[in-house]
This record gives sequence, structure tokens and C-alpha cells, in this order.
Amino acid sequence: MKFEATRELVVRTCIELADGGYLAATGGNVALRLDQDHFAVTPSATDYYAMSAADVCVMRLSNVEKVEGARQASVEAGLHAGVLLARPDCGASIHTHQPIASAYTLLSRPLEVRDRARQALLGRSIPCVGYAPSGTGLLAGRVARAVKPDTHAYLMRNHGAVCVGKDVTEAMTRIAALESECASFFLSRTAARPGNVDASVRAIVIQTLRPMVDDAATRFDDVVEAESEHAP
Amino acid sequence: MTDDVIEHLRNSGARLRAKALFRDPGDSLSVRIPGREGFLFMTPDRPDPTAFPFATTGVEASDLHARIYRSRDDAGGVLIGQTQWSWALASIGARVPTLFDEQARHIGPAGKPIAAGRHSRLLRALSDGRNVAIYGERRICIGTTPSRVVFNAELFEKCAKAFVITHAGEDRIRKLPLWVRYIARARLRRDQKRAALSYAAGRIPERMDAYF
Repeated sequence: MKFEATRELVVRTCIELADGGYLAATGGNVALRLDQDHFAVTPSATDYYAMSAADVCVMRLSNVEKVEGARQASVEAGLHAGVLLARPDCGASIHTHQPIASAYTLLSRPLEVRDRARQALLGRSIPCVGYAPSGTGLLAGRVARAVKPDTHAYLMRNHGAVCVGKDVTEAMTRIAALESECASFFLSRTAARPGNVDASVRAIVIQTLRPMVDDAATRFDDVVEAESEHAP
Repeated sequence: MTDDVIEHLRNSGARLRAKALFRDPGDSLSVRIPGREGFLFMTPDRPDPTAFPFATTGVEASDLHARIYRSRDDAGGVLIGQTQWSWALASIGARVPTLFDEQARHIGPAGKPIAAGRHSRLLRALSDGRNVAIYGERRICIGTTPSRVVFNAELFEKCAKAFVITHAGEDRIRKLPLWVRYIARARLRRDQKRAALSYAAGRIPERMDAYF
């Protein structure tokens, strides 16, 4: 099997994302650059907990043609190819259906990143691309056009998010940073507007969001500090 | 065949429990036994599956499962239970909008919450092919296969959370375009017809997870 180690890494990443609640059902997908011409991508509509490395597809970057893989490639393979071509510095492109960022996509507007540490990880403003159906060239094109060198996360209206990184670890850190930035946004909205739901519902929302914001306060500061220490 | 179905039910229950979607004492999960007029049923506190005929009546949780199987010949699995988000949806009382592609494709419209005890109203709502309803403070999830009911429960949890959080923030949200909902619903109906034919032939339907 070609690129076995990276294809196994795709499987492990999907399980980690699913365990963390960043993927729902079979939604979301992972793409990792293999070499200058190829990338690995998750198969279409597959249960991540039942997926094997042989199911992970090897694709050609230039034309999104499958080179190897037991199953049909994710319908978002074209989206990942566009992102990886536009960001040659990135080895990982991960599309999640993470719940809080997905909720933010319903607002159909860019996310201004307020927190300094998360800004260093994600960029100052995260664009939200207009609606296009999953798996279409229209969606892939919209995301590819939004890609910028200093922005590492992208939102897709009524859909989810794409985060990139030089490797899986960096992309995963950005996924968590995006979720906590969106949690911070909704937490301040809910706290400022107490009248819309009864106190019990409001308490559930606050109890869900607050730990994500509090945990992030130290977690991402540490990541940014460590990165700046290793910077050339 | 029944051993396979027991395995499916146990696997589905374990996964839902791991995701905190099947742990309340009042929760219940069942899967259809292909080729038989019956289903296997379990609860979080009694994980050994029990078989019931579709003709089951009474006031137990299994009665509602039986009613759903009698009215939905495409149903391969049914999950009934409460999460904090289903409770929040019931409390808000609003129609849950169709927000995401995969929600439209695999779940369909959830409609307005239905008061507990209104069985006939619930069954009327489910008869249009929707795979989720808020019934009292619980959510009812239907899937064409044992794995699809798990996926639908995970999907709906995300949709419910997204809706409640945006609703609490009084944010104006954009629904999925009508034409997308229309196409997705036609595809969902197509899958349901295929599932009903498979079960009529005594088989668990295959390939129920595709988006297109």
C-alpha cells in the first residue's frame, strides 16, 4: 500500500476528531499532503470508527483523480485540493462539522478574532463563504478564493469549517482555537441578551460554552509561546 | 440473522452511550429484525436486548417503538431519549429549522415540538418521512439502518445545539435554501422507499449513508 503511514495518520486523526465532537456522523473530512503531486483524503460517507488505512484515498492534486484507495473519495476532495494548492506551506487541510463554529456559520458573516493568542493561531478575521451545496465545484471554488496566507481557518455558511496547518497537529490546534473563539462570541451574546430564552436554557448554553472559553485562556497562550520560542 | 441484529443493537447502544446520547434511565433504543414482524429493544440500564412483536401494545417504552415500526416500514432503528438539547428545544417550543445540508439529506424537517402523550399526532408527523421529532422533552430519532439511527442522533444533536445557541444569543440565522431542502428531501424519500423494499424482502438495506 502506498503512503501507508500517512493514510494511517488520516484514520487516527478522524477518530480523534470524532471523539472530540468535531465530526458528526459521517460529516467532515481530512486531507494530508503526501508529496508535491498527491494528497490523501478520507473516503466518502464512511463511518470514521470503521475506516482503515486502505480505505483512505490517494489523489492527484492537479486533477483530483484517484490514484489508490478501496473506496470512493470524499465529495470534498476538490475543496481540499484547492486549499492545498493555494497554501503550499500547508500539509493538512481538515474540514469539520464542529458544533459551535457550525452554529456561527448560520450567521453568514466573518468572525473577528478578539483573543490575542487565537488571533496568532487563526488570523485576525475568519471569512465565511456564501452557501454552496456540499461536494460541489461551486463550494470548492468559493473556499479556494477565500484562502489567504495569513488566515488559517475558513467558515462555510450552513455547513462547517476548514482549518489548515503545516501538519495535523497545527491544524488540530487551530480547530480547537476556532471552536473556542466561536464559543467566546456566543457566550458574550447570551450573557448580554438574557431575555430571549428562559433561565434554564440560558444556563445550559452558558455551562456548555464557558468551559471552552476558560480552558482556552491558558491552552492557546502556551501554544503561541512555545511556537514563538522555536521561531527562527 | 438475529445474532447479527443483536450485534448491531449492542454496537449502536455502545456508540450512543459513548457520545452521551443514550444514558438517561428513560432512554430506549431498538432495531428492526429483518424478515420478522418484530424488533429488538434495549435501555441503558438493561443492555440485554429483548425481542418484541410490532403488535406490542401497552404503556411501556416498547409500545411507542412498536407504533413507530407499524407506521414506518422504512424504519430500521429507533432511538427515544432526552438530552439537554432536546429538553432546551422543548422549552423553546419553536419549529426547529433545517440548517445544514446533511440535516436536510438524512433527517428532514423536525417540525414543532409535540406534547408528550399525543401519540397519534406524533405518528401523523412522522408519517411524512421526517426522521426526528421532539416529543415532550425527548427526541425521537429514526434511521433506515442501525448505523443510520446512530448517525442521525449525532447529526441532530449538533443541529439542536447550533439552533439553541444561536437562539439564546438572539442572532438572526440563515436557513438552508429552499431548493436544497427540496432536493435533499427527494433523496431522503428515495432512500426510505429503498429501505422499505429491502425490509419487505427480509434484508437490512445497504448504502444508506451517501450524500448524493
